[in-house]
Amino acid sequence: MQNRVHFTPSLEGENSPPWKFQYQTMRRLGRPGRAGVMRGGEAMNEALRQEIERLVDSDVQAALPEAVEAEIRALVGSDEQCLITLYADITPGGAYGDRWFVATDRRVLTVADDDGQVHVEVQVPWTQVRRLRLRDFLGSGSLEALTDDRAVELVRFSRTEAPTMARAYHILRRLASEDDTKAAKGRRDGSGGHQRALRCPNCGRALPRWSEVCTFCMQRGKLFVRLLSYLEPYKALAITGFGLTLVFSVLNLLPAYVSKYLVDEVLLMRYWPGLSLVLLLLLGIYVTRAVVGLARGYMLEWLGARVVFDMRVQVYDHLQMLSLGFFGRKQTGQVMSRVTNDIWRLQYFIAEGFQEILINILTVLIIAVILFTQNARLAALTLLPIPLISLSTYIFSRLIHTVYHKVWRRWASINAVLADAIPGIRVVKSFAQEERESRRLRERSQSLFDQEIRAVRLWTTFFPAVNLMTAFGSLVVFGYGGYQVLTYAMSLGTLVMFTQLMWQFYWPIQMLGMMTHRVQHALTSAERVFEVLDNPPEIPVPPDSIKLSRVDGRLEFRSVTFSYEPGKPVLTDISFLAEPGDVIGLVGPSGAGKSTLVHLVSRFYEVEDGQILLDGHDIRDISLRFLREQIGLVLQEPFLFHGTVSENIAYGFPDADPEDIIAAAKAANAHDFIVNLPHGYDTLVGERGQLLSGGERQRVSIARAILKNPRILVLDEATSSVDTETEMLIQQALDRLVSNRTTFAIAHRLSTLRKATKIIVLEHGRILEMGTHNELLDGDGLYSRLCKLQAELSKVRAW
Amino acid sequence: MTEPEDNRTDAPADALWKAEIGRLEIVAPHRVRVWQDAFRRLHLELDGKTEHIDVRPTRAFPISGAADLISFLDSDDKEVLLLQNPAGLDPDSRKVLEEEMGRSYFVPKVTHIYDIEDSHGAARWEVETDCGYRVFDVRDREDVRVLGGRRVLLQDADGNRFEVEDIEQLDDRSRRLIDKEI
Repeated sequence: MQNRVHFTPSLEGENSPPWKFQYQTMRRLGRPGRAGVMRGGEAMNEALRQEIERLVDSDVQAALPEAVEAEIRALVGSDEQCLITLYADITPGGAYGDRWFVATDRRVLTVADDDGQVHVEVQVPWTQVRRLRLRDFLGSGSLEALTDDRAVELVRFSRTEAPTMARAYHILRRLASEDDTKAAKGRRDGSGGHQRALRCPNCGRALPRWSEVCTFCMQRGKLFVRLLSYLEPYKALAITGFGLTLVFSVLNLLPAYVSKYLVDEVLLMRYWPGLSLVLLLLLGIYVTRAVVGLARGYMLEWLGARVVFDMRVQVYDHLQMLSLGFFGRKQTGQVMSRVTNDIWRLQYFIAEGFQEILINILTVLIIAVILFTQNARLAALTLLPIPLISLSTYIFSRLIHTVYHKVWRRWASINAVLADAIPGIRVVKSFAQEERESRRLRERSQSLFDQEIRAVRLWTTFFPAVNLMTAFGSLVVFGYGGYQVLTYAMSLGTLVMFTQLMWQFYWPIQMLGMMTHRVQHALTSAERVFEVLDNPPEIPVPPDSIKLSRVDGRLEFRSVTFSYEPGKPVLTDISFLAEPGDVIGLVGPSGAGKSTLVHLVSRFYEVEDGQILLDGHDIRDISLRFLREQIGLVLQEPFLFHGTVSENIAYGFPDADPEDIIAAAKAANAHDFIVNLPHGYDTLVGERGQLLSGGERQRVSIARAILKNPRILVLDEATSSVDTETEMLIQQALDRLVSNRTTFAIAHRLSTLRKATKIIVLEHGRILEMGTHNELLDGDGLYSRLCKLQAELSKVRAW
Repeated sequence: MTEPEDNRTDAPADALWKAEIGRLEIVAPHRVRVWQDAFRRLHLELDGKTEHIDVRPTRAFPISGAADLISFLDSDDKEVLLLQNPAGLDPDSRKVLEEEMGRSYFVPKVTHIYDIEDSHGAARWEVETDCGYRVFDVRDREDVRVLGGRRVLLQDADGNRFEVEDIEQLDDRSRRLIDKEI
């Protein structure tokens, strides 16, 4: 890495992020060519030349170190032009090492740079290259050149370089005289879809998957300030609370002052009236302190609860806005833990922790002032153990932070197990795996326990140690103070006050030490909560989004390409048109991309390439809310919310008329079973609708879709998990539903697609066949094969 | 469960099941020969006759290693042969296969950890591997998988894989660093 020379990028600014260093603009070896780059006597076509130009301008090209450049210069002719330079990071032997791949207009070659030992490793003239091949492995890849009689491995590279290689590859293939159409297609097989992981624009580190925020660049101070910003709406109350806290702290210290007076002026002077004065004074102080303490406690507790309330609402609102991608990446338990545990911990901190910190800091400051004005030398001695206490507190807080983070993670993992096993309890029981699930939980609980014990061990060592230090401090005060009193350098009353204040002084310091972990804890929680909040809501809504006045439901896919993970396209080049009233049947093996396709219609995910048009408008221009209002979704596993049957049907339309609800239920063939339920439409369906059967749940969800009256209906294997009779009922319901709408129906059972006006057969994310049932049956393709197979099956097994 | 006292959950491997479903054809290594041609394609020969050209070997259990089985796939990703105990191949075949596997599973083994900068978000690892020095970013805690308490599999932000074979075998400093991540 160190021996690499970086050329100053000519196109990018000086402030380009540091990680980009190896992809900077290429330095050409020859003269920058104009239109007529020659290869094999023929002029390179304009489109290809432009694409190379674009590549040169992008960050794909690597800058060559001087030594490498010299080596290449020595090899190539003066009129030979260097087109593409790429960096690769694995040697042919499979170790990490610097390799430079160069394509000129005459040859491809690889230069090795093994710690300064520069040499040309491979070179193949273009005249011999028949084809290039990019190979994708787990964790690495390679580029090969195929000639008439052999294959030559040009470079090996890790996945870090894979996106760059893939981008250059499709241009290289065209240089290798493959026809353009083929190369253009090759780009779509995924190599073009490669993307780099998102990186922090500030420090260049990869961003965590669930967050758009770089946690390295996030500052604790800022975190704290941000936490405090939640107090903003309650400024007056917060300031009053703070003022009362100040008064409370002072009131706490006054008795020590009074005892100095008591000793010096009353007891030693035998001044009788003074005693009752002192008693009255103390009584007044105690009563005021109680009142102030009460008011202050109430105010701050209220503030804490209120702030957390605001925050919880905000987080939950925000969670609703986040993309499905966010939820796919995180386990439900972890997300839940953020809404509940983390926010709860923040409440504890804001309500109690925060005010304790305030009191303690104030107390320390006030006492320090009093002590120094009374007797500076003694005060200095009293402060002697402070650096030690501070230092050990600092070390302790760092250790405890790590441990608490682990504790938090263990907690989340326990939650994740529960969120997994409880809803899946039927599967667990049917496989008689109760013990295994218990064991899983036990193991994680054990792990949580271990970490908690580590934390306990840490702070049970810390406090006695700090106690010992303060005890030493008190010895010094008694010694030196006693000496001063005996030599009449200081009054007895002052010593009494000192000893009282001394303990009042060490205590807050220790408290602050103890607070550190609470602060850390709270900051960790704050970090996690803010992470959720800082995730931008799914798809930015363009301000000028269109709201169509009337939707016909004409839906068109124009060469749509999509991938969940860069480089692994789930859908490739999907084009078709669905007119209102069409029933589009989607058929294909599992994983062919059927569900993904319909998810794209709802814009749960954004297309990577191409367009989806609704009535001629790109769906990205249509307001998301409006778009989804037009779409009714019936899933294989219908999700019902905890509530009554009617609430579930009217989900999305809480104000729907009961008559409409019943009409929808009737249309969904759900009415009969609903009225047979003990409480009719008011029957509670249980969590996730578990009190209903699968077919019943399905019909409720269809009623839900019918009530919504969407223009586009998506049936994602809506009938695949019910019995034949129920299927028939559902099918009838669906037939009522599909008229006049655009319907997408995903089905494994081809019999359910008999009404489809168009059937699309998907395989590996591509459209394999498209047409009506009869057309496809005659076509002798995958569809007709599947039909025959299912017909065979139906003879044996009734479905 | 046929035997209530048996709480283990083995596959239902009774004789009937084996006869009906579990008739898995696994090929012993002595029947197989593997070689590579000039086009870097793998050739596969069974019992000296059936030849498959351009096959791709994949491990059936690449992570757990539960069984030492290698599945050979043709260019359409269809399995052509399931090979048992690849170590039993003739030396030439074994060498070819090992080289090919080393290529298709590039998972450097972490031997020493210089530093892990973690901010509870993405973490930057600076490590020494058996393939050399490397710095990489791990985006998410879920990309650090601990297997059996001692083995750690890592995936970085770009999809590169790394492995710590045994935490206990690492030096103290490395162990302390990795301990915070798991």
